[in-house]
Amino acid sequence: MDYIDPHIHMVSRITDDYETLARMGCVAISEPAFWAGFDRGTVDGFRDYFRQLTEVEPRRAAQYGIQHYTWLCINAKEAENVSLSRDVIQMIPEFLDQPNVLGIGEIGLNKNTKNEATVFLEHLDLAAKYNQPILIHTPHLEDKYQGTRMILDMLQSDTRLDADRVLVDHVEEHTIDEVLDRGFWAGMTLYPVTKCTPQRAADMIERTGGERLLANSAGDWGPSKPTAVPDLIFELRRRGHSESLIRKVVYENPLEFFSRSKNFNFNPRA
Amino acid sequence: MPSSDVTLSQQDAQTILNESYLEVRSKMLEIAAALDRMQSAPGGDGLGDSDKRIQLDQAIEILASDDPDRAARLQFLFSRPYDAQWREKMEL
Repeated sequence: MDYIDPHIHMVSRITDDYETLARMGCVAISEPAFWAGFDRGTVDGFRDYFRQLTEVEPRRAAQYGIQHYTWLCINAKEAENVSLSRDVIQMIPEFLDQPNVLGIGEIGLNKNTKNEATVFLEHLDLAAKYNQPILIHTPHLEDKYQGTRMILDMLQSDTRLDADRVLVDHVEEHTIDEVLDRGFWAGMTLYPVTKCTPQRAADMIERTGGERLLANSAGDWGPSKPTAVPDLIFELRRRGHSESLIRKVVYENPLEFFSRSKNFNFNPRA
Repeated sequence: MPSSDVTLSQQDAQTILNESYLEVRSKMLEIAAALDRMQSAPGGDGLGDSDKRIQLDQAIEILASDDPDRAARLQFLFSRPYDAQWREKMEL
């Protein structure tokens, strides 16, 4: 089955992973800007990173027939440096017309601090001014619930933003209902240890029906599995679900959400 | 939003029980062994007062309860509660 991984960090993966993804049926990915494992020190460091996301990775993906899209931001982990964050936010519009840029992301919170919230609000302002869709990172473990609620509060306090153009990622059992009930798209991240297993993701699909629900691997430089979405497909098939339901979650929903971006020009397989 | 008793599940409960029995049994044994390990280690007698140990006992109570949404209730147990005044406190 053709599928789309809407959240994967391919700059951290080897080229063999592109080949494996293609063999598993992956036809498109979107790669949000994220933390590199260390705090970058200059705006030019981010400018080079954004060139990698908009120039290098699309070429690398295309070698295997995978269409590469991306989202730009400074990650919440680096938001404690508010001055640098503001410089990066000011620089981002240089890249918004690149053909594979879908919007602003993955913005969000990490430890739910004042500086993180300040930088998040300034990213929202950028997205509103440039009419960009948004992809959101929610915090981990004990901070996830408070952080998700704070994020939803901030999103809904900005009347310029349309919930239908916002994907709130890394939802789990205690946050998914609130995200969907408020009209946003929700993403489930399939990680080997933290976040969500394919089994729990399948449970959430069964409970919600899969409307406005996406699934991703968030494969990166840490413990993660870039082929996690096919694992979910396998689990749903094992439970006897229809191909139409599976296809909705792993293919049609990402297409529908990405189509909120003017830069999304997907070419389906003939 | 559907409640937890509305599900698209294609499998009956007996099938799910049969398929998940060994995996759940294994995870329960891991929990039992970890609790034994804590109790028998030096200082294990005083561990019952620690917040984390109390939280684990509360989690076990949730698992043993008959009410649905155990996964969501566990998540809430392991989460900081939402502070609706966060914006005022941060002066944002």
